[in-house]
Amino acid sequence: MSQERAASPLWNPYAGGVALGIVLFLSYYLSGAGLGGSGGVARVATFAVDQVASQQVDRNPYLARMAGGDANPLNHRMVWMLLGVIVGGFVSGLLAGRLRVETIKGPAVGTRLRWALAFLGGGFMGYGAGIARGCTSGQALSGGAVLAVGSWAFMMMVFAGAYLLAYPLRRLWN
Amino acid sequence: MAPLHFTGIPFILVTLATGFCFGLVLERSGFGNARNLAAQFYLYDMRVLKVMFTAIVTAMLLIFAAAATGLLDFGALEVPTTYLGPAIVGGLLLGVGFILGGYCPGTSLVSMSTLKIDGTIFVLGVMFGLFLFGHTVTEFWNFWNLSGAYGRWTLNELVGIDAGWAVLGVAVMAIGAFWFVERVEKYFRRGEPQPPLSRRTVWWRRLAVAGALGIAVVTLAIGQPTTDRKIAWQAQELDAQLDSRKIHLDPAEVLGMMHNNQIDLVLADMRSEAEYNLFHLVDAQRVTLPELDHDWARRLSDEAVVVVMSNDEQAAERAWKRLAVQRVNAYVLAGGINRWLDLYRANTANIPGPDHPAAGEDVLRHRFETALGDRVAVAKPDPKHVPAREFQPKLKLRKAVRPAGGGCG
Repeated sequence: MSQERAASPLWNPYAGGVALGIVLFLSYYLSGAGLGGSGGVARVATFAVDQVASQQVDRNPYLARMAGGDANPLNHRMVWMLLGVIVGGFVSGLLAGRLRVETIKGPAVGTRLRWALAFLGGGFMGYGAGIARGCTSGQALSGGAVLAVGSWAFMMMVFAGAYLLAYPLRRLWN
Repeated sequence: MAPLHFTGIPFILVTLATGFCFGLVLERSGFGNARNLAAQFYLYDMRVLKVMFTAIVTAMLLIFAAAATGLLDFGALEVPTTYLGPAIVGGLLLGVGFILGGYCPGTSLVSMSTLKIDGTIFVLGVMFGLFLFGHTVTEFWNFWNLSGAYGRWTLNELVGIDAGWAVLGVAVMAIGAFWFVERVEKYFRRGEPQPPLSRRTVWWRRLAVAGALGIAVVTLAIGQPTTDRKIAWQAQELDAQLDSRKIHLDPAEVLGMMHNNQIDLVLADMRSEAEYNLFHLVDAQRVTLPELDHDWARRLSDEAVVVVMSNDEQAAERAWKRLAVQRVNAYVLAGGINRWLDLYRANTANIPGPDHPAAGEDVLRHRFETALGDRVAVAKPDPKHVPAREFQPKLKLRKAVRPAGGGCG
């Protein structure tokens, strides 16, 4: 607990939001496109599959778009953004004293269960981000700021899905 | 006008820097910790909604204010394509994943970078989910690509109003949501000591609300740029392009394109209905300037090549400007219908190349006794039966800009 108190406090959420909004605006202003998270992850995953089963990638219309034939799935804007996010998070955590090997979980959940649920939740997220062509960063945040209809529908459904499940699964987090 | 077009190393550096700031802000907002994120759904700490909506409103205000004042070309921004069906199903799955796992893909990367084990496992889960998606999407390929596919579609277009109204509406809605969630938080934190807001905090909040509404109202008052304003802003570049004759296509080049079924060619005839009825090229559509301003260009595919034509070049060049500011890959038929008919109907000798402007005042020089429309051989001559012609080809095909599909951005 003493260590946690040593960490510098979080930003006020509204101030954090303004900062995030300015970053998002600069992304649009400088490169004409918004932020993203899962796009880079998708490409890293496809790269991994391409190393072991290249033919399987070439035969799949979704994967072939990223890594068909000689195409390098890592040669994409989203992969650079992914690198930037990781470095940015690391530097910020380092300076704030939040860099610590630990498992974040609700008090009533064991570590093993938390790991299993993290993988399962990640799986749902990955599958959903594939269907929706983006996650909370690329669709909800970036698309929301340019008023895309699909992005707003998506955002409402994310909140709806989470709130529907929040009460039945309250033991996970409280 | 922005967006700036970086390529090569500067592009990579800009993207890295953007990602760096993105990761830093997420971490400082507490998004690297699943408990801060999950708290949103148990109502005692609505940090997620506050950060997200503030970010959306901030970016939206800046983007639309910049677009209204001509600093940023909204038409050039990558607006996520609307696929309603997939957005709804995918959104629900993300909501489920959020409660189970406690992160979203972006925040899990930040969690991983601050050495959290659960965040790292979550990232692996996302990779697995995307891998699974890639291997099963073929089972519902039509749903994924066609269900509620509306293309580039924004909220103001949905309602049919100027974007400024939508901006103001979203800002007001967000402020209302903030007011509401502050109350909800207070209710669900009862029992805990709650220090009253400092006067400075109250002052800051009032200032932020007033600033946001102020920017929204000014943006609305200026209005999003009309085609005429865009043309005025880019007048120099447009005139330079017209003077360079890089966008004037020789009749022979256009004829070749008409016979090339690999090109998504759209012929736009800007002349009066009477002249169009007398004679026009095969598949040419008659288009008026107001139609070009409305949403004619929206219906074109990303790969479409538009060739505009008039009797000579004046009306065609006016129309070309309107298409160019809408980022359509548009060209002008050099010499217009008159030169086309000189070449293929009258077989005149020594017809100048595309770099030679047409002198005429946009009047049809050729006479037709009856309205032939396109039911005449010269409306699309067989290339094998016309004399060979030397010309400088000008057509440049654009690489289609498509959303990457699957995963963010």
